[in-house]
Amino acid sequence: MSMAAGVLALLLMPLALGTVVVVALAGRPRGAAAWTGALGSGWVLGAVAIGLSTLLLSRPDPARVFVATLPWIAAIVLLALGVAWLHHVRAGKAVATLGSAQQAGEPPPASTRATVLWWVLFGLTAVHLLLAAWQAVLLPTVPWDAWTTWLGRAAAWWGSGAVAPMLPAADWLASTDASARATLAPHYPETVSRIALWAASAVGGWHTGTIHLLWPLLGGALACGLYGQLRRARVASTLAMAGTFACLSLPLLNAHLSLAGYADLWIAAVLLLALLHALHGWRARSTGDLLLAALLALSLPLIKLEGAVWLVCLAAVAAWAMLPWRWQWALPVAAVVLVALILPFAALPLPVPGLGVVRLSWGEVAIPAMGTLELYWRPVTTQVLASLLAFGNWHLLWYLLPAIVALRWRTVLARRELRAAAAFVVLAHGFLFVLFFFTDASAWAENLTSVNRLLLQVAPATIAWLTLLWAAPGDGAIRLQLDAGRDTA
Amino acid sequence: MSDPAAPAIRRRPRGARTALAIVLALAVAALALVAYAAPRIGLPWRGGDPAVPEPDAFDALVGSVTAHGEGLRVQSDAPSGQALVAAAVDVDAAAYRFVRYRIDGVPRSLRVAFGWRTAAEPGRWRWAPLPFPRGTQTVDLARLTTDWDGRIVAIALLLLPSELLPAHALPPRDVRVLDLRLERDAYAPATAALLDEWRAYHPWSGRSINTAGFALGQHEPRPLLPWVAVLAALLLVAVGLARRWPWAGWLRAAVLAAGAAWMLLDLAQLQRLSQRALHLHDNHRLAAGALAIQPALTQVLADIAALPALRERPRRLAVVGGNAFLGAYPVYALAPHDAAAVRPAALPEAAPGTLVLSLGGSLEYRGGAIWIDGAPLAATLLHEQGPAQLFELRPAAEGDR
Repeated sequence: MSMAAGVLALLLMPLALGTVVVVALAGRPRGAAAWTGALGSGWVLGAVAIGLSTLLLSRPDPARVFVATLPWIAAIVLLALGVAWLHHVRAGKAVATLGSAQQAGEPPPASTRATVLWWVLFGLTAVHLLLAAWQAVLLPTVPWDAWTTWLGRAAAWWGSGAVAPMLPAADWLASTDASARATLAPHYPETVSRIALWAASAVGGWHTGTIHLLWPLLGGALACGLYGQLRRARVASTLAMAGTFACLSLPLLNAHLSLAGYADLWIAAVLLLALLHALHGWRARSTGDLLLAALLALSLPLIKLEGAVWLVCLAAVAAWAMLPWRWQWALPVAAVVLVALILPFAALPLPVPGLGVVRLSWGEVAIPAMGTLELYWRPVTTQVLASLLAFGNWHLLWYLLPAIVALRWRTVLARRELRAAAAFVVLAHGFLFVLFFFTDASAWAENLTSVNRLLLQVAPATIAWLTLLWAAPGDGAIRLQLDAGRDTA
Repeated sequence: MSDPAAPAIRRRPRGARTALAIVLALAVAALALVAYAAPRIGLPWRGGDPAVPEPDAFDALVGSVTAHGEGLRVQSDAPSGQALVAAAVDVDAAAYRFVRYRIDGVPRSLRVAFGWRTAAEPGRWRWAPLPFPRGTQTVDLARLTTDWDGRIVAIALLLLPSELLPAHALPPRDVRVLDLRLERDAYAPATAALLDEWRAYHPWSGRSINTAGFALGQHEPRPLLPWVAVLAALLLVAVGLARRWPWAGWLRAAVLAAGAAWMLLDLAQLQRLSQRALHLHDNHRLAAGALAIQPALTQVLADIAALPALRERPRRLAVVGGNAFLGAYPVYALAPHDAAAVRPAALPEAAPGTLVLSLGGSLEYRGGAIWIDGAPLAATLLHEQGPAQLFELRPAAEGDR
């Protein structure tokens, strides 16, 4: 297949596969914004599904992975089309997720000023993506883990002529299997490497620049998904675009778009869309969106090890959100009391998909995949705060977070889906706080190797929640009335 | 009955008050900028006479240098990609903290480094990379390096290939040095140095994936964000006090201020990203697509990959590096060869016929063997190039192990 056709395949095949599934489950979108969201979610879901579909092939020839996955992709597309048709027939009219006509609760049409601001923000977002794509295509594979693990593994498969299991170096040295290859981290999930391998197969060779395009495409899908899902949540167009711009303008996210090859952005995109589909599912009582959220969430541990933690957080929040209001308060308090009473005397086992049974005891946590971590306070406050508030990694995100929460905390308490999203944000950041302030992972905070990357995984979800929080009608707090075309305060 | 002129009268004082407040806020922000640039008390605004080497004091150590108007013309087509011009000086590093220069004609394919020799070690050149020169630049040498110290007896400018670009891809260099001077410590050059720091080109680094390239080390650019946050807060407070906002007005203005500050920071980021993209575009064209991390090392690895020992049949290649990078990167660069990074202690487990690539002098080889923890491992040296040595493990003979 020619290079141009291969590049088109990188864009269109995940888009086709994933969007059909999204439409089948969540209903046919109405309006440009809803379609934007569906396409964004579709590309991310489709790319992950394509990567996972290579698992169904038995030690395939890497050069033929693209062709070999076509039947699986076609089967899923046909199945999804069938489900979508049944959904349409049974529903009568397609479920209108965002109609072109005004509906109850719709924000008013944008004023001229708001429209101009929308186009400015859209333009800036597009410039970010274009600059990232330009650099991603021109740069060699620069970041460490990209060439040791995520792309290094795919390159090794490509070179070996078979998608064989990867071994630690010591086992490789002693192995007599000529197709065996070694990697520094053989226990890391393979999905991102398999997506890269599929891309190489699609374009007919290991062309670094073309394979790097997957990352700016992921960024574009993230932007579309975020914008579309915010609009589905009745957020005004300008505010939705502001949230999307805020996400795509984060310097660290731009670094991950341009310096292609890391898996953190994949986690960030999948986690964001899982959360947003779940919120929409609760808000609109849409089983299809809840299914989509579940599909995306279940793929997290297959992308990176810490995806298992985010899956557990999402599952815990989902279970908590289904409880009646009183129980939502009582349960966390009871859990904390129970843990505090039990931990001094016995370990608490916690099964985590992808990590095994994690045992939490007083002063340590044992993770089968990572060993035992001792829990005590580590003095890394200065480095972490500097990284969040002084370096140019996050613009003003961590200044705005407490300010918006302080202004809108009543809204958080009043709306179920915002409470659920807040619970996830608290859990996720709480996990990172314990990880960097109480375990040996503080070394990564001190030398700034992982602290920002792990935050990047939850940053888009955090921005989405802040945007929803700001947009929620409300409690008399101040709002920017751009869409009404007049100032009020 | 109300006086129709009354509203106009009330608006004028408020407008004037607002304008005055903005001016005051900007003045305080400017003072904050100067304090950020030079957190030292008692400096003069300007530091007196700079130290300016005469153009004819410069010699070309690599390439050629001729007078060009009031400056220098530096030319080189050396294979290494370098050009080096130097001049003798006699200054105290503590008295001259800044270097101010203007260099024209430097394409994006070149970097410029500032060099110096001290009286304590007159035979040793020390180097620190300078931002890409676009117009006039001022650099704080005390922030750039810890080695700007003691009596300085010579200064130099070194042109070398841009990051990722192999030397062989460079066109001939023809650069004009129009100004090069050392300036004393003072608020004016310190502020100029800070502003130039923010404008300068900073390429992607190995840290960029973790910190977007930012850190708070002495040698790192100072972050723009704290000053922008201070500027936004000052304007917000000044205008809010002048206009006597109610609580609601303060909150709305705070959001607007945060949004404006975010935009300002993002425009600075877009400038950086655009510079990076343009540099990459130029270098990509010059290198015909062959950009690489550490181009010299990548060329050595490419030469090794083309050796008959690796081309004739699939061979296992154990890579042993003198550091983590030299151990791990060649595995990727040598794809599709079957390579892996191993520890020296694991080599005895390898089968005879396995190839071993040593980088950075990580293995001791003598008497036909690689010595590991005092024990010999029979090996034949197949190839040696730069930092790389390629061995083939032999079967152990009687008494070898």
